[in-house]
Formats: sequence, structure tokens, C-alpha cells
Amino acid sequence: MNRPASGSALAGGWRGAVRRTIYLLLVLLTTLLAMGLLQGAYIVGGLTPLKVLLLGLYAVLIFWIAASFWSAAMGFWVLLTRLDHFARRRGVAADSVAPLDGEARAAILLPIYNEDPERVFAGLRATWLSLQEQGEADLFDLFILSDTRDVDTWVREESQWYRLCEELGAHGRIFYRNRSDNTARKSGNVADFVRRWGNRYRYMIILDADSIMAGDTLVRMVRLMEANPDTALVQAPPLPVNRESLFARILQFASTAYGPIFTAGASFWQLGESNFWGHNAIIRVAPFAAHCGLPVLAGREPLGGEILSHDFVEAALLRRAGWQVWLAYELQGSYEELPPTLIDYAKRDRRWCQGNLQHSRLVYARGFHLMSRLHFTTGVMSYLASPLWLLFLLVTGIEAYVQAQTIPVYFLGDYLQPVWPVSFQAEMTIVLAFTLAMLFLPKLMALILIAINPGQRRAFGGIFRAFASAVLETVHSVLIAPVLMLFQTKFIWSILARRSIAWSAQQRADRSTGLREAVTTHGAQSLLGAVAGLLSFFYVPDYFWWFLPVLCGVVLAIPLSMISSSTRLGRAARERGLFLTPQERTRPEVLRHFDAAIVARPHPPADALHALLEPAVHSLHLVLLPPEPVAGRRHQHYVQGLLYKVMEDGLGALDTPERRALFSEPDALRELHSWMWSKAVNPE
Amino acid sequence: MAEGTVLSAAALPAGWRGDVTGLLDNYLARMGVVSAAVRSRWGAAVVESLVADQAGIAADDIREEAVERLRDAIRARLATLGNIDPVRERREIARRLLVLQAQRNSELLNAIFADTAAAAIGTLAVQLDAALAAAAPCPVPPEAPLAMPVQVIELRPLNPLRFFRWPR
Repeated sequence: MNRPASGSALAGGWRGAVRRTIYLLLVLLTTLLAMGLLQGAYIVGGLTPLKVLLLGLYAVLIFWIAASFWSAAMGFWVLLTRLDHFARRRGVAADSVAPLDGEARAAILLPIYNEDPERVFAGLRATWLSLQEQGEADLFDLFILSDTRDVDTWVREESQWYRLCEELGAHGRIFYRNRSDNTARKSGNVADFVRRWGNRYRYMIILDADSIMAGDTLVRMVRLMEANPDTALVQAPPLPVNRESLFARILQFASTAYGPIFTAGASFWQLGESNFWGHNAIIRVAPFAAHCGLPVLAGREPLGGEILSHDFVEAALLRRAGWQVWLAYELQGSYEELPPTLIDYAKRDRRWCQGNLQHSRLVYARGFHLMSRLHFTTGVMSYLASPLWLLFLLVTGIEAYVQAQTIPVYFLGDYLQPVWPVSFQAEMTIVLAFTLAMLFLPKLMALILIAINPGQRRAFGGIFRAFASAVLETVHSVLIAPVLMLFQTKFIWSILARRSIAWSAQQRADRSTGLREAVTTHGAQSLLGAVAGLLSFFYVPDYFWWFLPVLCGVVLAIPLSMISSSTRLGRAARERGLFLTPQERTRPEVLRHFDAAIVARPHPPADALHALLEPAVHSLHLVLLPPEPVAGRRHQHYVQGLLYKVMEDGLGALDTPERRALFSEPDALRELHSWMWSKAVNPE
Repeated sequence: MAEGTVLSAAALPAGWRGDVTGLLDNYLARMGVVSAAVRSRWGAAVVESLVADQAGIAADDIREEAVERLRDAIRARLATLGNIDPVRERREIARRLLVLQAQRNSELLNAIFADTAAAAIGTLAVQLDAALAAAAPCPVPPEAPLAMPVQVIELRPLNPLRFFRWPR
């Protein structure tokens, strides 16, 4: 089935058109209003090129902020009134699908790349156990699609997979394969699954390495798809959980408290042209196979070559083929984890930045739906907004300096009455207040929703604690925003300068930022902030006070980064009821499974040496290696050379590709196994 | 394999038999063979074969050769039980070894190592097949391919002036 069924109950129709028109009008009117306020302050004295530039930059930035604000406002209205026609239709239709068709088989896919196997498999175990509590668990299989290159991690993954199958009695239901060649990264990994096993399943549910999903959510997602045959993808919004550091706990609170109004709002006006976030989503396999084979973009990196952030593009391709893509904001039981520190958060941003910038080439590509173009633009703007903001601050400073250097003329010509210089402090304050209101009102809306719902109030530790957490979170977000601005500006610069990007695994476990790391990472930022502060203080003192909130974050970046990375402070805040989330207060069943799995994870885990020495681990690795192709003589000599190298200098003498090549050769491994035993006095 | 001098048995280091026996005992114990007597019997068989072929074995290689021979013997045993080729079907052998080393199959593993009588082969083979059927490692299911053609994304220049083509 590569074409969607027609006449869907979820087709947007006139409701969709009305929603989008209202949304667009609100965003445009707000932008115009803000522009009017700013222009009122600028118009006196004539428009100089600097002022025109400032107005232009402000227009782009305020449009961006207004778009986010009105989306959140719509979400607030939806959650307040529960009057979302489409969400109700989705729910009713899904409820009518009982029991599920035996053909509605779903594969849960977990693409991984050099991740911590113990953490990954703890999440999988929790998800699988939760699924087994459902009546329709037999419809699901689980695939661990490993692209891992590091041999130690590869062997640990294998051991974890086998342990999971053994302990859960899931042989033949939970599968593992390590790709010999990780072409096209994650999208290539998923495509490999589709090409090899796609015909066995009607659906696939894609997880991330840190995803945890409740069993009833998985079944519900299949029901949603069964009930809506013209839908190719349903995204479940993931809530961040499990982190202990202060930084991550603040972000967890923010995402959990404010996130729902943003997702509900986005779903409200995006409807069946929503986006794909790469994981915690269910996809109809046949249309995905038919329409989502990703091409290589013409031109060199960073904007050409392999498509890095594939999710947006896959959603756009499905939409181009007439399929619907929904963000089902009402789905619960979908979780992920956040980077533990500001530095790790920035590193993740660096990886995402290039992929999103690449989408700038797709905005105008032929055939995409207007909404898909908007998603691409949104992705690009989420990073481009940073250099634009920086430029805005810079130009504002220059303009303030120019104004400060202008000597006021009190008497013009023969006119005897003095002309007093006009102050625009009031107008500028209104502009600033207007902008800040757009930024912070969504938080207030989210707090109102919490306040009026007794269950939510309790879940967030009471309204006073939730309010205090929101105030502190706001201070934190004000402080880190300029730091992230500088990071993202640097990332964009380095990407456009074609500096290479390393696709290393994301840091997921809690850790603290040391002084050396903080100084190395934030030192230049703090210096820049201090110089900018001094310059503005001495040359444009009026501007300095406006500029101060931005300066504070940048100048204090080093202590801020270190303090916020503390897990001790994160736990202390939790003990005082700060930044509490419902998932921390009452652990859902699936997260309790996860906690138990983390406690029971093996110490020490198996590694490459185990695969050479331990008979069981050795046998397992041999069983899991793909069938051996006939190797050419050249390759045989290469492997033999590696073998001698290990025998002479040890396993540490090989680099990662060499270790991988050696561990892909069963005969070489068998030989090494015997050799290592012969050398071991006591293998213990 | 490292180069070494071929030595006669008389020139082999004193106590090599004890050394090799200890090594093999250790290997079998690590595999899960509980009985010391059984381990000793397998070790002795390997040592005997080494003595028989000692003229062709370098002193440096004696330990490695011993492990190789023990593993060959284990493979041969499993191949007999499964009626499979011990050389060509090494993956199958590895699969059987893996299943046997699971804690729940400890009894079967020990029985296979302990009882080498031909009469027992039939019973043990049935038990091994049952163990495999119950929980054989199955890394991937049979393939069911689905075509995934590469899509065409027709890019247009970012320059909006070029985007709106002027009519000729």
C-alpha cells in the first residue's frame, strides 16, 4: 500500500484552513505591532542604514518569537478547553480498533552507534517488559540495529543482547545485527532494516538510544495507525526523564511543564502535515520504503552530501506522496533523556546544527508541501536565530554609540525656543517588555494549566513549588541563552567554514564539568563578554544596563556551567521539591522497570578481550558475525598482519578500524582464542 | 603462529604435560565442565595425541597446539551429535557451544562431555536439539526484502531572484 486511502476522518479540510489562517494572521499582526513600536522610537531623526538594518533584524527575530508564542497560545487553549476535533477523532477511531488485526505486526527499531550498551539495554528491557504486560505484545518484535564501530562496545552489545534474550525468554523476538558498513549513518541503518526485513512488518516504531516507551503507548500507536489508514507517521512527544544534574533537572522541568502547550499548539495548526523528530514515532513501513529512500544531495559538505538530519526530510517525502504525518500530543508514556551538562547540550547542538542548516537547500526543492518547507525553515531558524541575535546586539550597541556621540543641537537657526533632545527610553522599554512577554507568557500559561488541575498540581509538588521552579528556571534560561547563542554562532561559522564534524556518541550519563573543561570551553566566551561589558560601560553607559542580562550569562559561563552540572545540587533541589516532574514524583511502571534494570546491569561488562578469551563470549561473537564472504588474498594477508601485530604488541596496538577488521574475521578470532589461552597463565 | 624450533620429546621442558593438563583443565572448567575427572580425561586424551605427534610440534607452540586440539575434539563431539561438518559448519558448532554454556543447560553440557559412549549419542543429540529449539540464539529473522528506491529531490537555487525565472 504505497498510496494513502482517501476520505480520511482526519483530513484537515476547512478546519485546518481556518486554524492556519488564524495562526498566520496572529503571527503577522504581532510582528507588525512590534515593528510599529520599534519604528516609533526610530523614526525621529530619520532612518539611517543602521536603523534599517536593526529593524530588519528585529522583524525576523520577532516573527520567529511570535510564531512560537502563538503556537503555545493555541496549545494552551486546546489543553484548557479540550476542544481539539482531530485529537478527539483520533482517540475515538483508535478505541474502535479492538482487538488488533493479527497482520498489524510492528517492529520496534533501536538504531545505535557506539552508545553505552548497559544503558541502552536497560531502556529496552523496560520497554519490552512493559509491552509484555499488554495483551497484544505478540504483534511486536524488537530489532537492535547496531552501527557501532568500537569493538569493545560491539562485544558488550552482543553480550547484553544475549542476556536480554535469555532472561526474558525472547529468542526469536528480540534481534540484533551489527552493520559491517555504516553507510548513511542512522538513515542508512533504518533503510537497511527496511530493505532486509521490511516486508515482515506493517509498522516500525523507531526509538533512540535513550528512549523508553510504555507498552500501552506502543499498542496505542499501532491502534492509531490502524484506525487512520492514510496516516504514515505518528510522532509521540517524548518527555525527558532520569537525569540528576541540576542543569538537566531544570530542563526536564521546563520540558515537562511547558512542553505540552507547545506540542499541542503545533499539532493544532500543523495537523496532518506535522513533523518527524527522528524517534519515539510509529511509521507505516510500505510507504516509508516507497517514498523515503534518501538521495545524496548534490554538492560538497556541509550543505551537500548525505542528508544528516533525515527525520524532517522523511516526513516531507511522506507528505509529498500524499501521506499524513501527525504529532499525537495526547500520547503519554514516551520518554527520552537529556544531556547532563551545558557543555554536552552544546555538543549535541553541534551535531544537529549541520543537519538543520543542510535543510536550507530543501526549502525551495520542487514538490514539497508548504508545511514541509515551513518545517525546514523552522529547523534552520532554530540555529540561524543565534547569529542574527548576536548581530542585532552588536548593531544596537553601535547605534547606541552613534547616538551617544551626537552632540545635541538646542537652537535651530533663528528659532529662539530650545529644542530638547527626545528620549526614547519609554518606547524602548515597551518594545523590550513586549518581546519579553512573548518569550515568557507561555511559561505562565503552562503554570495556569498546572494550577487549575489538582492532579497536575500534586504531580509538580504543589503550585508554589512549581511557581518557584518556574522562576528559577526562567533565571537559568536567561543566563544560558546568550551562552548558547555564542555556541550556535560558532557552530554555524565552523560548519560554513567546512570544519569537519565528528559524529561521536552523545554523552548521556550524569557527570560533572571540571574547572579545566569549563575554562577551555567557556573561557573565550567569558572574555568576550567581559570586553563587551567594559566597552559598553565606558562608551555607551546607557546601553550597558540594557545589555547587562546578556552579559551576566556570558561572563558567568564558567561557574554557571560547573555549578549546573552538579548532581548533588540537582538532588538537593529535588529534596526541596524544586524542578519536580510528575515522573520523578510517581515513577511510571516502565520507568520502575528501567530503574531495576540499571541496578541489575552487569559489572564489569564484557569487552573485546572477553570475546577473545571467554569461551561463551567468543562463541556468541562468532554466532553473530554475518556469513563470511570469500575474502581475497590481499585481505587475508591484511588480517594475518593484524593477527601478528596483536600477538607481538597486544590488542592495544590496533586502531579502531583494524580492531574492527580483525573482529570481523571468524578464522582469525579462533586462532587468537587458542593463542591467548596458550599465553594465559591464569585467565582469571 | 609464532616460529619455533622443532624439538624431540626429550628436549621438551620438564613438566610440560602437567602445564598443558592444567591449561586444558582450566579451559574446560571455564566452559562449565564441572567434573574434575571428566576434565582430566579430556585433557589426558589431548596430551596423548600431543605425545604421539611431538616430533612435528615446536616447543613454543605446545600450549597453543594443546588448546587447538582440545577445541577440535569438542567440535568433533558436537558435530557427531548434530550430524554436521565440524569444519564447514563452524557457525553451527559455535551456536551449539553457546547454548550449552547457558546455565540452564549445564547438566546437558556435562553429560555430553562425560558420556562419550556411542549408545548415548542418540539421547544426547535429541536433548541438544531440544535445547536448541527451546532457546537457540537467533540474531536476525529470515529476510523479507522490501524495495526502497532512492527518491529524487529536485533542488532549486536559494537565490530568490533565480527562483522566480523571468519569462523569455
